Amino acid sequence: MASVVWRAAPIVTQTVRQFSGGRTLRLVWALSLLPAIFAAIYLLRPGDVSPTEFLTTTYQELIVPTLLPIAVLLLATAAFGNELDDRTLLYLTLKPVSRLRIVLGKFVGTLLVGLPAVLVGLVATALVTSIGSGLTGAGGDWGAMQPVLLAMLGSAAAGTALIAAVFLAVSLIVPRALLVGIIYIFIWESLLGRFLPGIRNLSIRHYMLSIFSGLTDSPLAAFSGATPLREALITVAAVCVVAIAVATLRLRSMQLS
Amino acid sequence: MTAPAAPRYGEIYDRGYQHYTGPRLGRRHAIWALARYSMARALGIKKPWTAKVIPILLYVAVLIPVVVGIGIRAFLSALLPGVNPLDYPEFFGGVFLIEGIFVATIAPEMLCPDRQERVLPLYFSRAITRPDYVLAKLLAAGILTLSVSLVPATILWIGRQLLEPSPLTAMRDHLDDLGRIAVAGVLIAFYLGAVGIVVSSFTGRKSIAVGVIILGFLLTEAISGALTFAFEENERARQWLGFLSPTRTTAALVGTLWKQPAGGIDAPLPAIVGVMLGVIVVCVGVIYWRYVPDA
Amino acid sequence: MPDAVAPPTATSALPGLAAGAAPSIALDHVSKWFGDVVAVSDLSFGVAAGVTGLLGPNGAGKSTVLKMIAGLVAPSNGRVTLLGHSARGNPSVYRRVGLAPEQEQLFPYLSGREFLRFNAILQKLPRPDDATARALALVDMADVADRKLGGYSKGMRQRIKVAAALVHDPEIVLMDEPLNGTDPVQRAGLIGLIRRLGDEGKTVVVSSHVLSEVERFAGNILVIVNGKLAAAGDYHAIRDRMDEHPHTVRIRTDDPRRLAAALIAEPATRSVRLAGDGAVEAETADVRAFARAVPALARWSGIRVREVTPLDESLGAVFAYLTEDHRG
Repeated sequence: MASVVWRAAPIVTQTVRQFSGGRTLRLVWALSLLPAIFAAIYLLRPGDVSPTEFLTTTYQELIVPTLLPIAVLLLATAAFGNELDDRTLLYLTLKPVSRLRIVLGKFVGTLLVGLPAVLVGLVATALVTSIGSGLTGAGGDWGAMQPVLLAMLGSAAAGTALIAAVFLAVSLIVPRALLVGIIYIFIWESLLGRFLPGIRNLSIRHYMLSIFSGLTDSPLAAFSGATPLREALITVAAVCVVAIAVATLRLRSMQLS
Repeated sequence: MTAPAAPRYGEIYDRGYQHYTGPRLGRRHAIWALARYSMARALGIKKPWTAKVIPILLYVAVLIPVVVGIGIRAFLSALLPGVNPLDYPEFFGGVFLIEGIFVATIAPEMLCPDRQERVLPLYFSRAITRPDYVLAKLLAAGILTLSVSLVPATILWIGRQLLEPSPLTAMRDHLDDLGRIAVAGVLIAFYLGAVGIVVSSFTGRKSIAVGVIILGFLLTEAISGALTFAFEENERARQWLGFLSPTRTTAALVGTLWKQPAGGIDAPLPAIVGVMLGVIVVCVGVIYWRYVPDA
Repeated sequence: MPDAVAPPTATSALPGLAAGAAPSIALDHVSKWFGDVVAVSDLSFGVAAGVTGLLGPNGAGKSTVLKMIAGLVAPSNGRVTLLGHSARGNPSVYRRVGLAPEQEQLFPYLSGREFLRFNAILQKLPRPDDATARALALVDMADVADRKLGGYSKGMRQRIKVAAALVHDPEIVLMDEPLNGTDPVQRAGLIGLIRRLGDEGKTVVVSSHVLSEVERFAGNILVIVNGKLAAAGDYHAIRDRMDEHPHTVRIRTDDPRRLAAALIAEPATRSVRLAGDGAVEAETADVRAFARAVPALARWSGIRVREVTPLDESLGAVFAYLTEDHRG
């Protein structure tokens, strides 16, 4: 069985194995499951916020701006980054395989490792919020929560793909790509985005929240200035394609000394 | 020509190794040399520009508020005498995030490669002993972090006094502020630096260390916030839970120093300083235990 | 460029290549610099089928040369061709080339067998399992194949890297210091393997800084010093030419005239001249004998010798260095 998987997609499999059981992956899961812990704390004092409202706020204010980008960043910058650190990348590049396939293999491998963590983290948070509220007598709110959760899963998946593609390329261009990514998230997206509204449209966060609001009718997800769903999805796909092209070209011209 | 009778033949070639006959500078110099090298490496000195970009960006980010603060004061104080742009507590609060990222940049760069490239035994078989190594790395991390906490705050202080009608008198009158800056700057630098070094001492992968440091800040922040919220009625618990968050702890330190309570912690100054010193001591203990196994 | 080591025949276009031999690897006026550091300077040579030893002291530029041949690094100047193509921008060439790199790091999370299979699959071999078993047998590692690479010793890492370079049975095999860190039994095994590959008609380039090892598998050598080609061709031919090639040694002393007179009497000395400033310059064909003679002579005659410096260190010194046994 394993050998069939190896043969079908060697670089994808290698990338998955690279992360399996490693510390990076544990960090990613910790970041993804963190909101579930907050949900548990929320249960201590539900107050006047409905479970769906709590979940939406957590998603918009905590998961989208920081937790999800950092989790995906850790994987995307390590997929090539660890191989560059260890100088093992040549075992991939000295093969009669097109450079695009190498980049795509790393991209798909990163998604295969990252998406389960991101999506399971969201579902776990929703379940804790809803079931917990049900137990404490505040009403589970599960029915209202479901469509919102689905929209979250969709937008989180799109965001994961976007961040993975962009930072795979960045990690081939600069050393310390993880720090570049963290500075980008904290300073560009959070700090500058707050003061300069123009920048907001140029942020990963904006497109994730736009897709989120486009996928559900819930007024909780809506915000002014959101990009329509179709445009947002096309933008995300286009950026992914450009990033993968950049990474491929970079891999072609790179020197591995 | 060697006679056939000669039973054994042995020869040592002089490979040109020279014995060092100059002065030996001692441990202090060895420690300082390692600390200096660590700082240069962390800042990307003598490395390609791509390794320097991040430290430079962070220095710029820290200095922008200082320059803007002094500039606004220079132009606006005449127009709006009552306005006091960028007070010290605000400054320390504003640059805390950048200091955190700075520590996540430098601390892993100082420790992780030595572990990853397996050069630790090489260090320890030379003049540098294990405690020397730990001391040098702590020193390097502390000094570099001072350069983003103490140094810009001091520049801000000097700039403000120079804008006064008689700078020398103003400096004398505001010496108390300088003292507070020194306490806050040094404490924050070593508090953050020690945490960064501890995390980095556990892994050879820089990316893991960076991730854990950032996750640590987020996690403590969020958990501290959430727990404070959950324990709203319990005053004492709330106080102590606030200390879980580095942001609130430093905000409380700076707030108390300048008598503008902040951070949701309403503790006396000695308690706050004690907590921060405690964290530093615990971190140093852990690092010592990591590198000096017999201790 | 040392004239003493011109190619065996003047008809071939590239150093290192016998007349009429077709080069599998050719370097044409290749230079490589990293920032201010020149790693390789105006290097031209050709390599044909058989085993070629790439010799030189540490830091001479051997690894850079191998990386340029493999296309990992682009030359700053000049042209490198492999089987007539440039490897850079042409991944299909890698079907016919295998490189065992210098660095030890492997994928610690894979077993030896998985690692070889991974290489075989990326080489698009129809039967990766068969190729893996064959490569494992070549380096005699079937018994440890299922252990994780992270737990491999240095000698095991060297051998699994060689196996990975051979898994697709390439025509050109490049090995960077493959004998480093191996024990005598492993070394003998690898040397036997390298010789067999050469006998099968493959083009094998093996770098090393230990001449006594290279002698055991390569008749043909390329010596690189400070990024320049210092010698190319048959090992014994180079040795012979070396002996004809005189070396100059400069000696500073209290009494140059008396020392010069004493040196002339030495059999190892070819000529002596007074260089002024308390120095004597002597020419010798046998540096080692000369180096042994000078201190004895000084002690015996009571002349104080202050300093002995070889003036033409290049090839002679390198050969003296290489023929002594250094193991990394």
